[in-house]
Amino acid sequence: MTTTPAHLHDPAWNRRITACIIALVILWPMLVMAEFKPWILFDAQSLQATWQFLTSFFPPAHSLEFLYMVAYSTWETIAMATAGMTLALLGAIPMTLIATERLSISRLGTGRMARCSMLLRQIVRWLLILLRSVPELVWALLLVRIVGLGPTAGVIAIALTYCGMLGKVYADIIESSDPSACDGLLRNGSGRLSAFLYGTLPASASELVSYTVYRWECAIRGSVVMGFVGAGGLGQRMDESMKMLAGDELATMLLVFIVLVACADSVSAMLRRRLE
Amino acid sequence: MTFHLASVSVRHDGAAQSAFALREITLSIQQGEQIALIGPSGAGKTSLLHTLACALKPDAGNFRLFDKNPWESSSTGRHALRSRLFLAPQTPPLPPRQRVVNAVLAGALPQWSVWQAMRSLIKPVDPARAYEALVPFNLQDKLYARVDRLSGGERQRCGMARALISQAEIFLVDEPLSALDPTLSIQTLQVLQREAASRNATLICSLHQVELARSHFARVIGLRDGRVVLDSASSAITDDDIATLYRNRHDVIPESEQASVTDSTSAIPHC
Repeated sequence: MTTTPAHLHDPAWNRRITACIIALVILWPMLVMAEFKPWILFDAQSLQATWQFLTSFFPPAHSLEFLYMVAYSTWETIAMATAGMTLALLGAIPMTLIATERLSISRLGTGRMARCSMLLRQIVRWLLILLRSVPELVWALLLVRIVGLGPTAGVIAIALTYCGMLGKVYADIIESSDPSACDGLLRNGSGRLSAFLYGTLPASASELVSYTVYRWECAIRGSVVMGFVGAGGLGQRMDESMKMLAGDELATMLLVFIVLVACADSVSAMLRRRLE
Repeated sequence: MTFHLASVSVRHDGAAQSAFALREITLSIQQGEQIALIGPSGAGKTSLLHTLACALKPDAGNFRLFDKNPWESSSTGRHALRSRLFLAPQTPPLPPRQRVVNAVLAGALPQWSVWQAMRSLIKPVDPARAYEALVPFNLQDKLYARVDRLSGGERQRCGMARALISQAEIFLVDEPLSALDPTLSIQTLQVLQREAASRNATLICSLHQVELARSHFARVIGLRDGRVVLDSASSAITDDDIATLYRNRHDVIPESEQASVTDSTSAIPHC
């Protein structure tokens, strides 16, 4: 190994090594705490259980009656996710517009926002944190008690959590886009919303759309998980099949799932291409 | 009186501890005047234009726009004042994916309601108006092109076309010619000056082309290190004045000016 001469020594090198060591030192107790023991997966007993379960997957269930039921629940799941996303968007878009500092008029010229608008922004930010910090599963469990079993609980749960997530990420996307167009319009006296429509939206539309489609995909997955607590859809069917250890039914439903995610992916790609 | 500045000092970004971008500027500008702003890079031309446009708050001194101090009125009142002026930055602030027609019509946003703005995004409400604003700049065939398909010079003129759409009584234009060839420069300048004269608007243009400034503008203001060092009718300006204005900082400096120059070397160039 050759030593580098002093004048070529990278001043960032030592700091990088230190950061690496610190990260490892912090990570180790976390792994211990999380009981991270991957080798359990590979002992003889686990391997056999896995093998048994996996062999029951084949061939996937394909009786006409079952397929009809799966199609119906799939549609219910998509409807739940879409309805939940629509409600979430209704809340997230206005909250984003309030929360982004980019659209502040009082900051022009001083760099500081007026006190009451800053307070309003902060309140909306806290509201977004509150909404997204409660997992949708917990919302669903609460709502099942209130509105009873069925998709309504799932729809409202998705709407609440995703409203918080969408609002936060939309605000982040807008803040990280090029400010000059929006600032230029604000400095010439246009209103906040107009400046957003003509300055910010053209620059960040494709990112906003692709994130929205990705969240819709997550909402489909989320609605399945919520099915396990009785919120209807494909999840509830999956829960029933799991309890009966019907691997073939599970396999069919998982295949449907892969197709759904792939569809969401291609929709996102198509929309991005359109907006490019 | 459109502008009245008495000993106005401005810091960068309005931050309390940063260096002064403008020092003790005293100026009066009447409605309808056409002024060229010249000076070396980093002299504070952009800062002055931003201050005049209420986009930078003065740190000290008395600043009056239309005989009012905009920083004493409410944020809403100040914003209403902003719609009476048009500030065109050096790099035209046009989103790359926007179409030229929308980019130009955006000049009318202060007058439009939000609904009208939304409707115009779906289908441009007044394409004829955008077309007419593009004709003087020879860009009419780019009406429905996307901004990122335009060359740098075309983009710059597209930004100027937005100025024609706006109802502004003051044009504050930052180096409108930086991406244009000499012929286009003169044409573009003439379009701006004609437009300003026809609506009796005040036109303040920062320029690096000193000859154009002297030949096309009645009044020339020279900035150096954040101070006004030249403010006179362009006919009264001598070549010596220009040489002094642009003299390199490292050239030999007469004793009397040494002090003021050395204390400003810490100033961050901001252009």
